[in-house]
Amino acid sequence: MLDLKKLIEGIDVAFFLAIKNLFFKKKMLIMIIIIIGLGFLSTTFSSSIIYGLKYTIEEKAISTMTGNVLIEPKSDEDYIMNSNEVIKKALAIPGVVAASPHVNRGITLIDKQGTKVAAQLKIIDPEKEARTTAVDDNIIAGKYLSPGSTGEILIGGDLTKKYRMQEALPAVDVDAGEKLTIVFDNGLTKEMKVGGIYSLKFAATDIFVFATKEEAKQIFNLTDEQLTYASEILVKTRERGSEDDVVYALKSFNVNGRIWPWQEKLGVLNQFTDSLLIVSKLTGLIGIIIAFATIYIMIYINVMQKRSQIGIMKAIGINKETILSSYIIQSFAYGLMGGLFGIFLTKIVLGYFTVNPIAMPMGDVTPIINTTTYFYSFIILMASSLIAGYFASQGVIKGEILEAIFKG
Amino acid sequence: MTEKKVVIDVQNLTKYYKTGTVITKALIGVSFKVYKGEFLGIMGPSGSGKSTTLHQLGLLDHPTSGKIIIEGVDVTQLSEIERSYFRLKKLGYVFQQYRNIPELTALENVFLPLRMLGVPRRIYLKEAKNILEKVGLGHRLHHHPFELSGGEQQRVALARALVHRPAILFADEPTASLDTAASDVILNLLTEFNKQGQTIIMVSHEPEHVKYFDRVIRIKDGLLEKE
Repeated sequence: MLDLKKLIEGIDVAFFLAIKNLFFKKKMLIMIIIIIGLGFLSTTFSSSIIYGLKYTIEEKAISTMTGNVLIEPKSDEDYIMNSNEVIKKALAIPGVVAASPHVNRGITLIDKQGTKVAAQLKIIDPEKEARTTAVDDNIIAGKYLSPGSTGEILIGGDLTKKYRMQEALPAVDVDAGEKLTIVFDNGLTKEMKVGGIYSLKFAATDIFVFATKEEAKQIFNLTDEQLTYASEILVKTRERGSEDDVVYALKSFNVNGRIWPWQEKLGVLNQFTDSLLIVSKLTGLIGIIIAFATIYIMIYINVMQKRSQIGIMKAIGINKETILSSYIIQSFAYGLMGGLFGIFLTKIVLGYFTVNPIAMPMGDVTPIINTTTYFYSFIILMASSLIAGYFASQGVIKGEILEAIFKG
Repeated sequence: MTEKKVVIDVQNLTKYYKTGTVITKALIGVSFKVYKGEFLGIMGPSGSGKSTTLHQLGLLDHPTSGKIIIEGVDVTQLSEIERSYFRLKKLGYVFQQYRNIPELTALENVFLPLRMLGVPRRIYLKEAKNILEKVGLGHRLHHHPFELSGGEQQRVALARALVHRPAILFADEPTASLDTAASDVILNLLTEFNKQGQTIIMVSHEPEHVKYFDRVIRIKDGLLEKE
């Protein structure tokens, strides 16, 4: 049994021995710090990439498909009536910065070769859309829709052979400035110019076609009242996290429709991103286990090499609590220095990948790590160091003196 | 005539080692006394049990049976923590292979027992320097063991064993790894400390060391041969 009183009494000597031991072989110390630092990096980096991937996917979906909050018609209705009124109410809610109504219709795109591709047309107010979604920031050819423009459309890159991300995707042979024949769901056929092509490098969002309300008014022969109808309204908040409050406020304003925070609306995609989070945590856990094993092995080898020395220390009267404390202090110091180096490494690597994002099929992914993750990773590393230090050294330290001295 | 004070009273000391089913009788009912201020030699051929005796007296090992009474304390009855403190406070030990701590300088090796005893820094530094000067290493205070010769390392070990003024100094063939000149230095130092009142028990198998001892006990095949 360890004697706590002896442990406290000998803490001064334990610190002294630990410091002497730590800095005696500086190359070894540097190597241990580097290994633990890399262990910390592997813990934080891979999980930060996965977290970044999750965030990217969500952000792409929010910025084009759902907004932070999505308002849809009641299940027995086709449209939200008087969307202007709904938007007015939404904009009155603190934290809401923009809202954009969409009218969704079915269309078929036909290129010069006669290739037909079915798509969804989103009828928008370009100014409201620009304030609400990221489509206007991701034009890869041509230009974004001008307010009130007619005779032109904006299409997603995945609908075009030139800009699609995968060959397998059905696409038309068209570039910005060229024309396409469009068959609308009311049977009307019209030749229209592709004013611009957008791409968020996200398969789920790069498949839409956008046109202005003025265009829709002509094609579908809509009245002014019908122009206020909406298939959906995307509501943008200043930042993530306030969605539930906005949903609650909209409901309290008696907004006539189904109101969803983006998490609920993403469905399978949300389950996928949640799975990514589990993978991220699992990766972090594996990293911690590797760091723990590293520290354990380091301390164990260190202690085994010093068995004889431990025997001598016991022989001259240094109690085992003090010797054990010195090794625990050493492993704590390894963890502390390795952890700090790991934070430094992580900052550098994350900094690099923030400037040079990793190109993935769903878009450029920037690793994301928050202070809490740093803190917990660091605390877990420290705790692992202490536990590894204790278990690696206690077996040797509690052994017989003569055995340690002469067989060490 | 003044009666000599008994420092160690060894009564019927027995030590058996068990390896599998084989029992080796290293010490068989050994009894003797050690008196304050004497320089006692324990001699005998290799494997006779002399080092085993020293290990039992120095509380480095547990006897199978028998009593060891040091300064009135039956040390065979002490707990591990008490044994550790007893070693720190009352005993000093010099090994054959110097056994200094390589990470510490000569000065740090020597002041370690005092620091463990809670002696203030100013005092433990002074005491450690003093004794290192006494063993002729005043100029080697800040050298690590690997920077010292074998003889110097053994003098550091001797200084460490004596710095806290132990009741008994145990020396287990302290010159076995040294050349003749270095051996003479160590033996002369031991003699000098003994003259100053230090009780010393030294194990040796060198016949010429007898001249340094006040008294010799001989052990053969685990039995005390004669005094």
